Amino acid sequence: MTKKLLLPLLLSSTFVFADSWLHVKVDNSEGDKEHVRVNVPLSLAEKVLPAIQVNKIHQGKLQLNHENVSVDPRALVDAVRHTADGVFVTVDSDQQKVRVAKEGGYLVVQVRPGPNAGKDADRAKEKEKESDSRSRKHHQMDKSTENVDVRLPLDVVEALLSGGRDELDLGAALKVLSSHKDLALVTVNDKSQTVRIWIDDKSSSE
Amino acid sequence: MIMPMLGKGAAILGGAVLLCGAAAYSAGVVCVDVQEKKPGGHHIFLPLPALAGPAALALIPAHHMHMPINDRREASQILPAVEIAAQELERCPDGTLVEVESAHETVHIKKDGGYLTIDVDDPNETVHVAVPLRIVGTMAGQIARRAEQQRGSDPSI
Repeated sequence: MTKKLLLPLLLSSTFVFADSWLHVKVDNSEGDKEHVRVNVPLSLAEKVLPAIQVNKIHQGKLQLNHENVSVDPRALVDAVRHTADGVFVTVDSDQQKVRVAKEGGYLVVQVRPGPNAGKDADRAKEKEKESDSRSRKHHQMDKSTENVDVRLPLDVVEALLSGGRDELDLGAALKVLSSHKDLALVTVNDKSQTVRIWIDDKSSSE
Repeated sequence: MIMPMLGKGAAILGGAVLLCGAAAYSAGVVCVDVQEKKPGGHHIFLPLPALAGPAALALIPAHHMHMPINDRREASQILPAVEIAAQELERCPDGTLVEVESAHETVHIKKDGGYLTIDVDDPNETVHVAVPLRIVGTMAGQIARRAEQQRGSDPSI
């Protein structure tokens, strides 16, 4: 009798506490030294997303406008999935170095500052000082020293592209994302700000 | 003869008042606490029965709750999501949902039991608001349905 009562209780509590959480952490070391933490249970996002009907988001799907793009993104991801690990795209410019690769089951995007990024940033800062920048309250990322790392599981990318050709299925992607544990999705670092987006099964971001 | 009857009447009346009070507070309490930091600043503490909100919304006649077109559109776009979010949050474990800390201000939005709590601390005042999640969902749903009815009955939209 006790077992009959305890088992459903145990199972239900396991489901409640095994919820994956999406965390966003932003730390500024300049200006107001603002620190922002956002913790959202993925189950909450999954349920809420279909109810949001704003601008280009309907029924958990984001409408895209890429009239000039003739590539079918789903075919592209399918091709990536069935090829060996490696770097697919490398863009080296004075400002930025971009690398897109497949590593294991992940699509990895890395952005690093280029050799002349700092010089242009100094010029940009001088211009900014000249222009009226007093109204700018919030700190913006410094692109010249910015390091960006995005790491997305391929099954999430596939789910994202599982809808129509001109839409991203955010709901499907969230559903697949919630099956992953302890995953760093996005890391952005510059000299005064860091941004981290990740998922785990903890309700706090510490 | 009259005294025992009066006593019974008073007991019934007292019981009814107690029952009404208990019913009003059964859905929880909306708590607003504002403390100004300047010398001699005001301290406002408002514990309100949470049921008062949905009850008041239900009693307001439709023509007195006429929303401008843009507000109606926004309400029917966003409030259903708020209703679902509140329902879903009730199920979630407690924790801090949003935390903002800067040199001048801290903001914490937490889920604490069946409540959504908001705490703001800035140089001028500290604010604490606690709202039962069930009431947030109920009221969001009520306003969304009103907005939808008004949109449906207005041929200009």
